[in-house]
Amino acid sequence: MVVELDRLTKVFRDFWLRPVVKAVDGLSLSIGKGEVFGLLGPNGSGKSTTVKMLLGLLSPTSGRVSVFGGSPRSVAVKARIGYLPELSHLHPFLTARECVAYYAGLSGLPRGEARERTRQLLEMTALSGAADRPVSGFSKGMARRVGLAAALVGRPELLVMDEPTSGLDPVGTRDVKTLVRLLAGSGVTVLMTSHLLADVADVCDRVAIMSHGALAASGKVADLLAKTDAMQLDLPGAGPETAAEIAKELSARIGAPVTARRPSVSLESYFLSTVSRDAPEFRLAPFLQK
Amino acid sequence: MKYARAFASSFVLELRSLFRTGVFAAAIALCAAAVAFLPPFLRSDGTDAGQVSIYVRVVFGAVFMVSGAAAFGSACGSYAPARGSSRLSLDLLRPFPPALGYVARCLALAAFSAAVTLCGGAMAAARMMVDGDANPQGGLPECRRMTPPVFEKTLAEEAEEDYAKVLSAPAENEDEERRLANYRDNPKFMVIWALEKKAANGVTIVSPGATHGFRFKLPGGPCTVRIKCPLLLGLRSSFGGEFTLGGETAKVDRIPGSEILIGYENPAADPDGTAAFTFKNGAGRSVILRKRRDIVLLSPGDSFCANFARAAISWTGIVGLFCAFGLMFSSALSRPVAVFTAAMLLIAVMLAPVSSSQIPNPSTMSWGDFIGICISHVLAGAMEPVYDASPVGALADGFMVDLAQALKMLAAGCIAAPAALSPLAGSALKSNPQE
Ligand SMILES: Nc1ncnc2c1ncn2[C@@H]1O[C@H](COP(=O)(O)OP(=O)(O)O)[C@@H](O)[C@H]1O
Ligand SMILES: [Mg+2]
Repeated sequence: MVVELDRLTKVFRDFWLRPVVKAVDGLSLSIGKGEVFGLLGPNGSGKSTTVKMLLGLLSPTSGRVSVFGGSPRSVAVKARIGYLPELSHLHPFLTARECVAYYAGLSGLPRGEARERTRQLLEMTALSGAADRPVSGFSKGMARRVGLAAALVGRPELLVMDEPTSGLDPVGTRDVKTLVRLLAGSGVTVLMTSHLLADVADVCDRVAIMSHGALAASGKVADLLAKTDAMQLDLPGAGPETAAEIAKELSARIGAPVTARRPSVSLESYFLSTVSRDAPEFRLAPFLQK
Repeated sequence: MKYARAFASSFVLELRSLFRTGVFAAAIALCAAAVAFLPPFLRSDGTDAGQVSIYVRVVFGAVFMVSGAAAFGSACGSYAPARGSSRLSLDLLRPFPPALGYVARCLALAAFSAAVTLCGGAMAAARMMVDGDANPQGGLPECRRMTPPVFEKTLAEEAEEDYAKVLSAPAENEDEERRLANYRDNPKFMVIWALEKKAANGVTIVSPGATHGFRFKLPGGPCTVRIKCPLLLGLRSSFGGEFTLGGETAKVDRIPGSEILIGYENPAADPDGTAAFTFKNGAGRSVILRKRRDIVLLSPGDSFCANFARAAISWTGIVGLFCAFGLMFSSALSRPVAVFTAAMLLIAVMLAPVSSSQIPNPSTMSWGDFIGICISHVLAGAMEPVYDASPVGALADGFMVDLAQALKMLAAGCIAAPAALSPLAGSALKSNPQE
């Protein structure tokens, strides 16, 4: 197991140590190696708090956190984690390149290697053109991509992303999903949170849904979403008349009404196909590939 | 070694922030303003030397103040913008102990202050070279080496001796009885501390017509003996007499004021390199000399630039010490609170060495007094290099800043202090509430 949380509870207290809010309430979950795990829930349900406890940035009120079998505060474990925080506070006076290189340096990478990884990551996150501009002038989405590059520069085995798609346009969101899939393919464990189920559902192996700090549901995405009392048929190449005919026949056979409708693409995929028809395909930075 | 790269990254980041957020430019502009606008306001005592001295004291003093204040102010706010936000989280999540990051930042701040000091000093020196009002003699002044007399006993030995003498002597009256009790009933180390302090200020009384001797290690060539006499008996006194060094005798009559300079052409040294200096009191009154403070041998030193470089080293050490405290408080407090707390603490520390050379009375001493005396002794020891360093004064008076002393200050302020405070700063950073 890469991550194990055992009856994790966090109570925020005020200055006088009076409890103010129980942000996480007895949460237990575990994430295996190479898994893509989605932590979902509405705003304020305790996702970020859980993530911060998992990373050792907050101390749990009770319960136990184990990452790679150890404490996330140990230097050896920290070297294997990458973190994309919910809000990207970058050093405003650095350029994107310096920013990523700074975190590479903090991770102890030798200068040449740091430079090379930085270059590859900026290319991967489509920031090459803006690499030498100060990040203070970056839009929210650009800043998040710098943050993502910084999170990956240490070649983490566990990538923790808090709301990775917030502030990103559909192209950026798609790229994040592609990235997650590619990373998972090369053996990286990914934990991400989101309040938008649709954003992450199709890349997550498993999801947990939090509500008021507690686990409301968890399992494989397909299992959670499946309707157990109905099935769906696809009729490729069928026109409306054929469909109506078949529906009538089926209806007679099972003794219940059957509806036929034309499948439509979502606005998102329509947008993507219009905007990025000629955009290059997203590629994982070479050093991240296995 | 394992953390060398991360350490360098933290160091460079702090320097970049100081340069790119305009702190460096502002500091240099302030130095330039001081060099440009302060000199017309200076009023010297009329002599050429006095003019140089006041220029150096005020203008170089301003440069030192600017570099120190800029570094200290930045130190107190260094962590503040990142505290509680993901910017600090990201640093904390890297495989690099935050305590080391703190040390790297301290060093960067000290390096920054050294850069400001050097740039500002270069501007101030340039004006001194071209502006006849700043320095009527032209060029840059020379500096002189200051050598104290050689004493047979160290302070500690003198204190031990004093201690043994009092304990072995029978008390003959009530005062002596009380003193003996103080010596006997206090812990010995505490009495020794007080006695050392007394010995450092120990005085020699030279009666009219009497002679007193010292020894100096001679540098060879011409030299000057300076005697400061703040403790003449009676106000507005004057003193004089015969002053002999290495066989050369000079007669000085009743110099008014409190300082005598006696020049010697080429005094002869004994085979061990030292020579005797004798003072025969020719005035009608006793002269009281603090023998470890008031009498020194002056000999030609080296260039002003070299002396400035040593002063800058020593100043960098002092600034490093301040920054170590400022930065530590910034790891837990906002900038204004950190400035206030660090400044208060440092002022308290600076005042602490004004502890007395009195031996405490054991019958009235509480545990609080005891701990207070111990703390103030330790602090006084720690702050001694800061007081000995006093770079601006030495530079202005044209005395050579001691290189060993300056390096000691640099090591204390830029290595020892950050290292000692780093565990505190590190744990403050780790326990910072995140967002
Ligand atoms: N530092 C804090 N102090 C007090 N309350 C907090 C703090 N951080 C988060 N909370 C509270 O904890 C709850 C969970 O917050 P969070 O984990 O950020 O939710 P999510 O990320 O799911 O939107 C919220 O009610 C929030 O107000
Ligand atoms: Mg959140």
